[in-house]
Amino acid sequence: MSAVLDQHGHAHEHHPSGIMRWVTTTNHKDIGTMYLWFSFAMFLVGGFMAMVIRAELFQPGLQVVQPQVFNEMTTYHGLIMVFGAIMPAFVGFANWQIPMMIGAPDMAFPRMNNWSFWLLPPAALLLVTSLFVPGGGAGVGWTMYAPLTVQQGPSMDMMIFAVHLLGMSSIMGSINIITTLLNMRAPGMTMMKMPMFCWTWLITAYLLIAVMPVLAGAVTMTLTDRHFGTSFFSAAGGGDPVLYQHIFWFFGHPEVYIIAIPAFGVISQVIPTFSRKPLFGYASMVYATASIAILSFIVWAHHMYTVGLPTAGQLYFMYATMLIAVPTGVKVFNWVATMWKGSLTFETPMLFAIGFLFLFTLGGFSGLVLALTAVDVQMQDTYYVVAHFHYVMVAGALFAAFAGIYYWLPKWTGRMYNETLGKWHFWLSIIFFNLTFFVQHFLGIAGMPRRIPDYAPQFAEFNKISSIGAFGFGLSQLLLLYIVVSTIRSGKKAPERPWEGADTLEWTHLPTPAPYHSFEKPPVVK
Amino acid sequence: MQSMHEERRSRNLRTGIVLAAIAAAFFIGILIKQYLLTHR
Repeated sequence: MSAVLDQHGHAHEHHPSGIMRWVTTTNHKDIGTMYLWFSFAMFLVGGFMAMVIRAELFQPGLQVVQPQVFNEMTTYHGLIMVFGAIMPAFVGFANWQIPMMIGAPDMAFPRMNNWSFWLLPPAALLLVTSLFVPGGGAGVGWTMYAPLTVQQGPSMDMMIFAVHLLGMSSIMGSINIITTLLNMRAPGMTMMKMPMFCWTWLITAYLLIAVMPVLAGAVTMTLTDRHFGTSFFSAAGGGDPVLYQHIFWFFGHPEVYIIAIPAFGVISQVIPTFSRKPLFGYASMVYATASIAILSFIVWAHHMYTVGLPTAGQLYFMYATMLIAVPTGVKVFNWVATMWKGSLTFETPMLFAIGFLFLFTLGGFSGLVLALTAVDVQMQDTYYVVAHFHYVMVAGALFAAFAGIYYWLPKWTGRMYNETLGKWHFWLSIIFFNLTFFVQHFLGIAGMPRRIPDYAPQFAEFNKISSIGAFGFGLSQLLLLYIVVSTIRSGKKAPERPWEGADTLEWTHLPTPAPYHSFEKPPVVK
Repeated sequence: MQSMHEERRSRNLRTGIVLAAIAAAFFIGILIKQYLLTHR
């Protein structure tokens, strides 16, 4: 990684106060903070919906909600967690960290950055309030498959507009991130000297620019099918509902990596810091990340093995999907090799990073199982799939976000979190997470279908365990809220460099906490 | 210094416009492709 010659930290703290500070801000740190708090709020909303789902599934029969409401909960839980919680969380990290890591004073387009964030609250409002309009929420699943979407009430239109707003926000954010990384790096900070987190965001932003417009196109066509007499996805009018699935998953599979790749970036910062070694195989990490991103465009139909693909198509998508294991294996190998013979310590960020390493890899393995066409036609739409993607999304992306929060909280707030409580948060999360989702593999193999509120009595025991795990996991996250709030309000003052193994510019060249304006004069990187 | 600042602004603007054009092309492209597939 790069060594740095001179230092330019600045501390002009003039900015509006009160609510107008947040409404009008163009400061990347303020906007990053808003993204992170928004994401946490959405995490609680989506988490509440998960609790409703697991309460209903606690035992067979219908106890808590009606089937329509259950469908709404699974739909909104997925949409809120993907678009409202995880994606904005990593955009929050990007806003805070990218300028500081490359020695830039701010993002390339600060006003557009403000606009990117402020599109999110109206989108969230549209989405959540669509649950309460006449006809109820749109229980169509987060994938919004046609032709069910054409048959819904006004809530579907609100959902479509919410997705439009979220897409616009993501595209503007991505333009900002790419432009910042390409044009705003400090002198001497070549592309191959950028911290891995920046590389992962550069690649993710390109993915977003390519696929968010495709999702926007898909929901726009759904809207015109609903209201303007077109038949893009209606077989009766000459359209094809399966084409919707192709378009959706052309977006949807890269979306998995849009969530996972920034998580890889956070892990690639945390593991070297707490191993006190440089990242092993930096260049191969860059190329592996780019390979994963490129491959993600050509594997989409592995989500659609049961729609009647030709055998040659099934074979192609099976082998192409399995190919992704190669660059992913390179990354996992490099993280393990970074730790090998390092001076390891196990503070909370490192614990979450190691938790990520084990559990994300497990999620990758179950993904390989599902890549096999012959297996997938048995497992399609069972709880095995639910278990698989929660290992990727929760133990992968969310644990990486937790690692990032604990890692950078001292830099953001100038205060240290309570290490004991952080470790409690980790252990409670990892135990309850596995209690919730590991058993779902067994349920799926035994044939329990997803998105159904009732189930056969033979699934009762594992469902009970899963629900207890989910309630525990949900409650454990309130501990994170307490830790973050108590750190901000009364945490011990953080030392200038709380992690001696950290070597990126925000740790080596800026005071702790980071000043409101940083790097007005760029540092020179050797 | 001022001209360097201006130069950076115009470079950023150029990059931003190119990226926005790519996004717009994907959006329009998927609509056209879908229209052609369903109106043969």
